[in-house]
Amino acid sequence: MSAAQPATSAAIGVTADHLLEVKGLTTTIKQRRGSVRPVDGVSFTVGRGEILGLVGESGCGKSMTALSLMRLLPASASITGGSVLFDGGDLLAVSARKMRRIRGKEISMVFQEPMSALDPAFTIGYQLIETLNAHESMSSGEARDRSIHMLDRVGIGKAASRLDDYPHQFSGGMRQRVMLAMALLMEPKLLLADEPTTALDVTVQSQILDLIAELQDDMDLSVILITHNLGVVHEIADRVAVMYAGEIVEVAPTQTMFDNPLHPYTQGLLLSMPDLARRRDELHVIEGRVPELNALPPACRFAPRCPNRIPICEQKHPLLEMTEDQHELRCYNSTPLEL
Amino acid sequence: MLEVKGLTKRFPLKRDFFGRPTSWRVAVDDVSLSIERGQTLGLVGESGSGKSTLARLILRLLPASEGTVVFDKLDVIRASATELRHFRQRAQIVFQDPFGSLDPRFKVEEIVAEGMSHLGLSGRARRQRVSELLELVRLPKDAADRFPHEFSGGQRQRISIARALAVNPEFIVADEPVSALDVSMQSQVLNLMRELQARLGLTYLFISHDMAVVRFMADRVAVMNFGKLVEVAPADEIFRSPEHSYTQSLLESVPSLLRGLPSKRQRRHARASI
Repeated sequence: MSAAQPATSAAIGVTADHLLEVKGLTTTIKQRRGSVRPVDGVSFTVGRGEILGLVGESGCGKSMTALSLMRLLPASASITGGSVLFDGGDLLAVSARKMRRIRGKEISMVFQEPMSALDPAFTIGYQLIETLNAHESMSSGEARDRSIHMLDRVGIGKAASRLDDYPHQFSGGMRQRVMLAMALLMEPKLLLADEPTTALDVTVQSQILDLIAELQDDMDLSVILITHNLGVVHEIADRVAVMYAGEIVEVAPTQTMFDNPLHPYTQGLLLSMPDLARRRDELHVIEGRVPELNALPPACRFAPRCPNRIPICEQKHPLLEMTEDQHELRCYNSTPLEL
Repeated sequence: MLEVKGLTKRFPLKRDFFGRPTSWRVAVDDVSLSIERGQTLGLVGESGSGKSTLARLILRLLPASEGTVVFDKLDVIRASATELRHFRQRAQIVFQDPFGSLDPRFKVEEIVAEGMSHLGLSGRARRQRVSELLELVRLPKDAADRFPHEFSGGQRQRISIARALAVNPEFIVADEPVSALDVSMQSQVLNLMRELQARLGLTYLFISHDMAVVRFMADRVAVMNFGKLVEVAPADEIFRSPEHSYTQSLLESVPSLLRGLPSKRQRRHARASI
């Protein structure tokens, strides 16, 4: 199966400048009858100082990919293949203890719902300082100063006086700023942001995206931005990877992806979005629905819904291959899209 | 078709020793609007702006503090129990959450037929009507005998729509009906709503925080902020030249992709290279 496809790594074009290099990552969930692979042979790279957008609809495996990278999988799931090279070392090979040190310090994560990631019973100052102390020994004064500095940096006004506030005293957008401050306290190299703006109002969403882009520039951070929202990745990502049913189906630099999407699924997603320019008579529809992981189509997983389907799509599993400069595609019969 | 005047809803915040409210939160503040038959009014605003409260006041699912709602000559706020029952057949609501709003213990047939009990249909006629409705919202024929959990989010939302249509309503309030859906499901439901409107002559109050979705659905748009309507205008005008600063900021927050503009990233880089 695709999990063991070395062919994809050749397509990635390995260069020295990657902070993260994921190869053939496969995660398996055991179920009562058999097992399923929500992440199935996923390969991608993230450059230093790069924002990679990982997009797909619910159930495509994008969040599971992030949890696999962090080795934070639920008990029923385990990583059954592939490698995750981070800054030269394989994250899948390090001890649980070492991994705990890497998490938060080298790689950190923010989630969709900041309220559930902050403990309502403690002040945010306590939670920030606790994060610092978990990784470094420092005086309480120093920890306090660093926390204030970070809150200031994510745009929380009068940071010093807000340290003693509890999470519920912040609005949704402010809480997401606190989450970002906490994630970036240790100045990690990689930030995994899982739907960081989905629960926010549109005006706040736009501010948080500005903030992520700004912090990324200032701190030379690499970011994996996981979202279902193409509008969000278009806004700040350098490159985009599109996932469908556990696999990456297309990777390209952001502008290329939006100007010249090649996979019929990516094309369908872009066409289905309503826009502000004019009132359309009808929106494009991708027929059918996402397959269940325990009943995947035999060859191309998108084939049953694909307008470009040809016989081979139902016979042989397509590989993710480089089509042109930096553009990777998993499709036998792609036609350019007239936008 | 619908005429709302001075509609206000105050929720008591604090009460004195005798239980009399001493301070209020005004969720909906002196709202007036109207919707023509067969048209869609898009109601936009951010969370907490009072959109959903306004919708509930209009359907009298919540008692109003002040103001009037007139639906096709019926004074909804002062309607008798009988009048209200009749009104509720003509006006229906579809909610955001296709998971929470369908009872998981009932089969789709029972869910869709629930509102039809007063029609006194025979079992066979009822089944016939349900299968017509399911066909109307493009669900497979065998859907009637299945349970909600067997369907995707988009299909569940179509079940909700079929349930709302079961009583032949003229007016439908759709409260964020596609917000919980993925893009590919969203377009299916939006197309269906437009098609049903054209076929059945429905009137919609379409509530959403998503400006692009409202662009597709609405003939006119009302913008709500802190309980007040700040701007009401034909959709083409609102999107071309918004007058109120709040409407402008809402539109400017829409991802640049949907506005056909360069991305934030490109604009940043362009600024940096100057």
